[in-house]
Amino acid sequence: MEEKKNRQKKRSLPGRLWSFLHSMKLAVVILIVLAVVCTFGSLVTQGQPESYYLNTYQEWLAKLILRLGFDRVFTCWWFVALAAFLCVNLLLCSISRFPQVLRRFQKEYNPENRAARRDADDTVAVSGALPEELWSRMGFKKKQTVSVDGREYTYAVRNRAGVWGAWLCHLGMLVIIIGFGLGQMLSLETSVYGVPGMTKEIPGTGCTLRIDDFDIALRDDETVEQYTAALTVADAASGREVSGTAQVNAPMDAFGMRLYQNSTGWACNVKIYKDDELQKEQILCAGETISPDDMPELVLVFTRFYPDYYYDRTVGPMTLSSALKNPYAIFALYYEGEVIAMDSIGVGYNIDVDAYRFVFEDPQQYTLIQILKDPTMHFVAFGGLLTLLALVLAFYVRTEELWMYADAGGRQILCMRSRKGAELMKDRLRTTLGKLGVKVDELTGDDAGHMADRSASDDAGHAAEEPVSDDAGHAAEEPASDDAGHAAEEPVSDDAGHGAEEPASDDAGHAAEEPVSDVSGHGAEEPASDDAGHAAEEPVSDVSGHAADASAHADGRGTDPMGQDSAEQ
Amino acid sequence: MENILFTGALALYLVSVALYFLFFALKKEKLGVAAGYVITAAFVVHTAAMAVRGVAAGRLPLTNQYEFATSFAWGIALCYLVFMKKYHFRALGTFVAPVIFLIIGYASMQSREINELMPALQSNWLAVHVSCAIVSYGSFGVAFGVSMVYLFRARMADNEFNQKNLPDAEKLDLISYRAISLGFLFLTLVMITGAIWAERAWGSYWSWDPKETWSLVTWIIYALYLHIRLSKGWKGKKAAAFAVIGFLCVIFTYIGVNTLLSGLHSYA
Repeated sequence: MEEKKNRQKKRSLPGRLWSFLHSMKLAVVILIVLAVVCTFGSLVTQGQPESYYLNTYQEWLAKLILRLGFDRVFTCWWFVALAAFLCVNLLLCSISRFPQVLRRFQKEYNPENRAARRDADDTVAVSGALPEELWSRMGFKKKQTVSVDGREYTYAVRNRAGVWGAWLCHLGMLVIIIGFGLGQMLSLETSVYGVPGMTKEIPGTGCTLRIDDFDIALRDDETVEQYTAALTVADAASGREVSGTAQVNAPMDAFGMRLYQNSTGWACNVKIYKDDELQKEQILCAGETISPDDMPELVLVFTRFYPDYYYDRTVGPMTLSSALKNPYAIFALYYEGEVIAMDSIGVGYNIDVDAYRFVFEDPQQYTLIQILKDPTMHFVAFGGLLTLLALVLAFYVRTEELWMYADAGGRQILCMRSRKGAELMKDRLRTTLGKLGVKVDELTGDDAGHMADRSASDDAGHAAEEPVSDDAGHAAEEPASDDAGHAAEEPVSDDAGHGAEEPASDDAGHAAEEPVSDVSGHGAEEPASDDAGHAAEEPVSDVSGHAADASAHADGRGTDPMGQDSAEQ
Repeated sequence: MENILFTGALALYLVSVALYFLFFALKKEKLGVAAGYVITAAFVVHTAAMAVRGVAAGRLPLTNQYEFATSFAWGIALCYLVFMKKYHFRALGTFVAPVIFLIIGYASMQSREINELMPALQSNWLAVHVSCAIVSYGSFGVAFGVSMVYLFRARMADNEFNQKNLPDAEKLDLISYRAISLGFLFLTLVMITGAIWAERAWGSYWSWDPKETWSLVTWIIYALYLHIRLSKGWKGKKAAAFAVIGFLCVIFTYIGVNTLLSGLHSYA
């Protein structure tokens, strides 16, 4: 332990920085801060003008919100910095862990390693011959035979891809965050509104949008079933046109843009007469303004529109239905910036101001088309898909191994191991053997002794020679969620304990230097129920001795969260 | 018909809550067996109520507060029955049945009127999104129950009844982890399918709407659970406490956000 502390002290600053930046500890801290910040972001209404906060909250609180940027949490510089920090952590974690995961994927699951390691989750002895069907029933398509120390082993492995689960999950999250961030910077979002027949420029795209038609399908109860806008987008540079329809939940694609049927409102054809002669007419959407050509200082503002107007004394102006039964417009008239009139007027009625007359006619509904050009959307979608697949791999694609050999007495010894699903595989193996009518004998003391001999001699040496394939190393290499699965599903195995205790940066070296304590981890951390199985593989005296070693060892490592973090991230 | 079935399910869930409580308090096995039958019957009647509503509405009943609340309770009941069968863990019902009853009770207070869907809700992605949420929230509900058992177990006497009906701490931790794994996977699906739906309906796959933000907070809480559970001293009691906090976030995401915060999800 002292040696380890000294080793850490000797680490260079860049080394310590590297460990810190890709550690799970940092990830946990960032995630906690993100969760807290998001909570604030959802509780405080976002994106309002300063006056809103001053009117809504006490002055000191409003000032604090504004000063800290809690009125725009999700675009605030420190939130972006936090996300960037998380990205750095995910990236470095992915880089640092890649060789380890690849090595495990390529090297761990080979018969020589497995035969030598003797760390089966379940071992059964069978007196007669094992039916060939067992392998396929257990889901193993291919098996191989290998000779280790003069003994022949038949070995099969499946679902190896599961080792990539947690690693890919981190990568998927990285892709999503980067894609989302880039999307905020690179995407173009604008909107165009109008009534059928109008052609308008789509700002910033070099394209125009023509609204060919706009239909609102109503049900019998007058509720809206669907909004459908028939649109034509023309690219000025190429002269090409793309036509289609945009509906709610069914946007239209054109020239790399996506057009959404966003909302609707009312528009009127407003005519301006001067001395009873038509001077000007224009389709005006609610919220727009119009002025006589020769008197720009006189401005009519089309404020609101009610298709079935009714004035309620308490509620004020309202519409009784969406049908054009009693159409009224609310308007305001300005002259040189001063309000000179504000009222409601029926469609077809006149508003007279000196020589000018304003008339609202032909009310119709306009459509507002939202236009989005986000080159990163598919990138983000890929990240989402990757994350999802990775989670399936991490949680449900459990690497399973099955191997078999004949012992000195001629019995078939069948062993299994699953990093994340030992109990499930154990049940399945027993059930399958039962269905195949295979009578299972538990291992006797003799068998246990035989295996224990190998454990004591071969395993230690093996661990020293091949630290990478050592369990301690694996646990240290295991990503968080991966480890979680392993630790949770195989709580009695040594991996679980090591997973929490082994520092990552030192795993290989440590395993090489301390092979004995690693092997002994079995005895130290297994509860009684499972001890029976494993104890059979290890001499009693060994187990107790190692148990004490491992306990002390574990305590020491518990004080080293940084190393552990970097291992599990 | 739907009202009768729904009320029947509500009553049966209440009976199961009482039976599970008595089973635990009086330590009588027969009561536990009866509670298991009653909650299974409640689930069957509940399923029938939802099916009848689905037929009447001509769509999956997953679109408003009532429909999602009743589906939420149904999801927890389903997950509970699956986990009970898989792990032979009857006592879990003592902690999960009250949650089911409270949520279906909340549903009973909502309007059961069947309305035509507004255009934004007419999407297959919505059906997938909410279906995933049912499984996810159901799993988290079960994990909550298991974690409550974990937290209480240490204070319970180590008698024969508890030994027989309550798994040991390791097993409880394992069941909770498995429930959270399933819930986490489906919560990720909820967020992805929700993002796809939002993009098609509103032109933005992520708007930091309070519901979206709280689903992210919930996701982060469970991601933290999966990470820190490995750390020394965190597995076990602290992880169980974290699972409880996670489920409180789930409840707030569903009910709290709708009632206290405003956003695009005002209908759900």
